[in-house]
Amino acid sequence: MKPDAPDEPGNRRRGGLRRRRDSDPRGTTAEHGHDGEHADSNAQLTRSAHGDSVAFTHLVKAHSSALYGYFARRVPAASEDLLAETWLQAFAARRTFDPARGSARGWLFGVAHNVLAQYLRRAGRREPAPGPDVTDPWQVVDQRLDAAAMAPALRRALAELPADERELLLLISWEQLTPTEAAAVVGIPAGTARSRLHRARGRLRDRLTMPRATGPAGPAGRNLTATGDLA
Amino acid sequence: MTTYDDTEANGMNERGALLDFPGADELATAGHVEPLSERALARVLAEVEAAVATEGTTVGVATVTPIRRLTGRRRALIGLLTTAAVATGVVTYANNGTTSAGTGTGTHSEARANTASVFLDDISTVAASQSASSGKYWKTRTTVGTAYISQSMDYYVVNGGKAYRKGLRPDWQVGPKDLDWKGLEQLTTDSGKLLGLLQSPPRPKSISPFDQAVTLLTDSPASPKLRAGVFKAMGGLKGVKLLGQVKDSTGRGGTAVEFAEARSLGQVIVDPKTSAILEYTFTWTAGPSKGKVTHQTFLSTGFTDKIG
Repeated sequence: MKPDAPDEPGNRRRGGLRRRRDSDPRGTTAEHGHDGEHADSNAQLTRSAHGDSVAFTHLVKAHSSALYGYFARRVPAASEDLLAETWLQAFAARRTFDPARGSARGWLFGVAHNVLAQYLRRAGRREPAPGPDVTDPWQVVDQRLDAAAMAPALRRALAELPADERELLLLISWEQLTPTEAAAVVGIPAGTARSRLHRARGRLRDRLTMPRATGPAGPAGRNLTATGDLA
Repeated sequence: MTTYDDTEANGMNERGALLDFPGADELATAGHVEPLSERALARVLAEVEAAVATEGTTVGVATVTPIRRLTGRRRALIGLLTTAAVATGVVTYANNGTTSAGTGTGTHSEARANTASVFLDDISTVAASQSASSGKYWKTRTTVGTAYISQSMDYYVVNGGKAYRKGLRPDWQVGPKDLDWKGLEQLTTDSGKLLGLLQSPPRPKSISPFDQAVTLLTDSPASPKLRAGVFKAMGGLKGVKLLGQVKDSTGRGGTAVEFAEARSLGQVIVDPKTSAILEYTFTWTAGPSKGKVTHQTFLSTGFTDKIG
C-alpha cells in the first residue's frame, strides 16, 4: 500500500476505532493528518485543471489505492479497468472540480461511482432478463460478506437496508469517507445523507443489539442498546 | 472548510458515531482487499499520461509532424511520456469526458489496446529514423554473453575472449516463411503485409507472432525500415497491451508491452528514445513447458565486420 493512501479498512485492528476514541476523544490526531492530505489533493486537482499535468500524476499516485479498493470490493473482475477508466474520466472532467463544494477525494469517488454505475448498467443490458437497470452491486458485496464469514444476522440486516442507505454506509465504512463526502459521491445533499445514515444505524442497532444486560458488566460501546446514547 | 470538520456536538467524530453499531468492525474487516499492485498502478499511470499527452497534442499542436522530420525533442517527449501515445481510444475520453462505452465506440480494453498500438506506431517512427548500416556480422551482446551471426548464417559465441562456431543459426520465422540473411533483406517492410504474415495460421512448432516479431527486432540484421514495419505490425496484433514505464533488470528505463496467447506470455521492454529492445521475457503459461521462462537482457545489438 502506498504510504499516502488511506488505510484499507481490513488493515485496521478490530475495535481500532473505539480504541482511538478512548485515547483521543475528538479524533483530532487522525483528522488533522487527513486534513493536510485533503488540502494537498484539493490543490493538486485545482492545479491540474489549470494545466499542471504533474499535479494530476501525483493525484493518481495518492488516490489509486483507495479507488481500486472501491472497485475491488464491488466488481473485483473489472477493478483495474474501472480504475483506469475513472482516472481518464477524472482527467477529462478535472476543470469541473470546485474545492468550495467538497474535497478532491469525494469528487474522485463521485467519478468512480459514476463509472461503476455505467459499468453495471452495461452489464445489466447484456443480461437477457428484462427489467430496470441494475446499479446495485449488493450481490457481489453480499458474496464478499459471506466469504468473510460475517455473522448471518449482520448480513441479513445489511441486506434488508434500503439500497441508498446501505451504499452510504459502505462508503463511510469501507472507503472511509466522511458523511459529507459520501453525500457528494451519490449526489445528494449532506443533510439527506446524514439522515439516511442515522436511519441505517438505527435499523442495524434495532436488529442486532442484544437485550440490555443487567449489571455493570453489561455490553457497552459497539454493543449499544437500541435506545442507545447516540440516537 | 474541509469535510473533516464534521463533528457532532459531543466532540465525537461523526463518522465514528455513525459506525457505532454491533458488527461495525466485522463489516470493516470484510472490506479488506489486496492492495493495488505496482504493475497495475504503472498501467494506470501510462494511460493517464497518454491522455495528458493527447490533450497537449490536440490543444497545442496545430500541424502533424511528418514522420521523417521528428525532432530529437519530440523523441525525448515520447520517452518522457512513457507511452509516446496519442491514443485513439483515449482521445475519446480526453475530449468529451465520456467513456467509450457511453459513446458506443468500444470498450476500455479496446482503448487500452489502442494505446499499445499507438505507442508501437510512434516507436515505429523512431525506428524508421535510425540510420541504416551494414556489416559482415550481426552482433548481439546480452547480460550472459555475446553472439554473432554471419551473412551465411553461421552462429558464433564468445567465451573467455575466444570465438566458437556453434553451427548454423536457424532461419528467422515470419509466419509461413523461413528467411535467411538474404531472405530478410528481401522481406517486405510494409506493416500491413508483415502483420498478415505474422497472423498466418501457425505451423507445427511455430513460435508465437509476438515472439517472431521480437526476434526480428533483436536477433536479426533487420533494416530500420523493416524494424519500423515490424513495430507497427506488432501494434496490430490482437491482445497486445501497453504496460507502461518500467525498469529492466539492469535499471534502464523503458516502456513495457505485453502479448498474451493461450499458452504463452511475452513481455518486451522498449527504449522509446531509440526503439532498441532492452529486455524480453517469454513465459509458457500452459502446456508441457508451463512455467518455463526465457529472459534476455540486451546490452547492445548491431553490425560489425569482425568477431571479438
